[in-house]
Amino acid sequence: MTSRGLVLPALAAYIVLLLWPLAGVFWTSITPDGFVGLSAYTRFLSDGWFLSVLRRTVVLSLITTALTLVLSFPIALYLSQTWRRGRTLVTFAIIAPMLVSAVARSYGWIIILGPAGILSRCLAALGLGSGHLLYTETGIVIASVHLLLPLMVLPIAGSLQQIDPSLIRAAQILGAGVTRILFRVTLPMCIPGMTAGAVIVFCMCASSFVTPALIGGPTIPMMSFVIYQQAIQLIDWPFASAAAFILLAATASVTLAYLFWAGTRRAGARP
Amino acid sequence: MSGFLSVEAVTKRYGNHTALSAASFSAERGEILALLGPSGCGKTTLLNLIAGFLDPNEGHIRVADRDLAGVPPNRRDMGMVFQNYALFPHLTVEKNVAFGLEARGVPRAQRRTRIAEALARVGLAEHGPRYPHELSGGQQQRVSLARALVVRPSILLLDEPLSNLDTQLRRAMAEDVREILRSAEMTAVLVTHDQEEALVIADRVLLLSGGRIEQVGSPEDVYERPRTLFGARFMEATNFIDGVVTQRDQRGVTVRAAFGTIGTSACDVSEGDSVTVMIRPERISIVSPGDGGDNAVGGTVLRTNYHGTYRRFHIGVEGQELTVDAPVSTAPRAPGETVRLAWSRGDTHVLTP
Repeated sequence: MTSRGLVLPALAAYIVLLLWPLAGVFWTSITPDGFVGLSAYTRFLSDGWFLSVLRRTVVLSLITTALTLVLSFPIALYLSQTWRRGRTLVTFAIIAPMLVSAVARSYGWIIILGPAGILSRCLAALGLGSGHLLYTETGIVIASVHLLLPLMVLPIAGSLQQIDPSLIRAAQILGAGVTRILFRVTLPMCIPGMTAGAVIVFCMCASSFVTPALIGGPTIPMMSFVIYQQAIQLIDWPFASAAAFILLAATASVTLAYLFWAGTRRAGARP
Repeated sequence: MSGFLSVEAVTKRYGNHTALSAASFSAERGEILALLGPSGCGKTTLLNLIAGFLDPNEGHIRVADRDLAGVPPNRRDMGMVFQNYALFPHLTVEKNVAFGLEARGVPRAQRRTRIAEALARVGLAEHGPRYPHELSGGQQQRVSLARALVVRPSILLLDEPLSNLDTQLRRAMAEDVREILRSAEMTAVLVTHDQEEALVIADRVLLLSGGRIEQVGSPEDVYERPRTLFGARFMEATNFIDGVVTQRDQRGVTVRAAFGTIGTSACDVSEGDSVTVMIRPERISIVSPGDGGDNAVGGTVLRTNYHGTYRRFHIGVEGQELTVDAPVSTAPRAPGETVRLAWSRGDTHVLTP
């Protein structure tokens, strides 16, 4: 059996479990009144409120991705350079949040971000505003960054570990200081890991339900919450399906644009 | 000790293990040195100490009378060629070569001409826009050489530069590397375990063993006149004969061995000393009966092997086996045939233990 043959089961599962239901959802979205038509889509796209939810979802996901990227790089750098025991500990600390259910974690954030929470009290004590971060966009971003950090750190750390130490030595002996090595060698060579991490984090964030639903709630709704509302509370399946497809199109186009940009940046540079 | 590069009593220890003990040597400006030895002899440690990737426990390294203690690698004004080339995979050949110039703040206009010069020097003038992975191993090593030379370092360090190439290419590249270093008038330190590479490229060879410098000399010296048994073995010498010194005069030394007396080149031993004598296999000739040189002995052919560039004869002499490498024009001999061997006193060396 060739390796192509080995892919068949996965391909079958992919078709049965993903493409088929997706096709079903698409069919539901274009047959709102029993006839084929795009009225569900036009309703969504002509309503300012729904569009603002879509914009918020994309913007908050982009901000979350950017923050995760910035926070992850130093952690991954530390991981790739630190001694073994320390590495195990830090890796565990990074993965640990993933062992707890998203619901439990989000409730944890509700307590921290809430009016009596430690974060709000600290901010108040520092004179940085009196309000709290629960039911705010900032709160959603903070909780999402915490949730998704491991998915960014691990691929970047993987990329960093693949950098041949003699490249760093070569840069050093050529006269490069720490900063130049970081920006001209280490960072560019992590682009594959960063790309993988960014795509995963962006998609996970845009489609996540529990965290935005609990922290943002109905006050600051994200797309997943609106889709849930339409499908479960208003039983408007065609409209929920259309909203799901619009979200899919939005995340797919952002992801493809990024992949294309990252791809041209390292065209031909694969070792 | 003086010299452009001077290494003075440098010792490097890892815990209880002494990787390098009190190594001292110097190199003149424009000289090419080879640090030659088997793995674990301390040659790479020595190179990394010069580069500044390691700090010595004792001793000093100076370049042009400047003590390099505490100077980080990026401030040492050196160049280095790595065994695995260590080219930046995300940069084109041009950008790789530009890296050191940018780090040293060379203006853009100057950079352009110097990069073109350096690439032309290694014969890759057309390859600037390519990526390293699009080049062959030999080409990658040339880029690595250009990248190191373009910054005009005070000293160029080469760490096993040819060992990742296949045999044929390695031989051709060794000659090219010497030519390139010579034309750039570069002071260079080459680390290698390959004796041929060291002999071809270097002006002077330092033979290292167990963290010590065993012998320093010209390629001919180290190859033809190894001082120690280790050096002789490393240089692929084969004929080692034990004996006792019976006489010493201005022509040399006479040694009594199991199969008779052997006259050797001059050396510092006393009568009555037990010594080992060495003759390189290509320095022994098979001669007609009755002919002879300073030394001559009869023996029986054990076997003959064809090696392409020479024919190797294994000859039994009074229970000892001698090997003789003769030109392929020499007719092979059948096992059991008796032959006469002869060699000169000047090719016979007493080894210090």
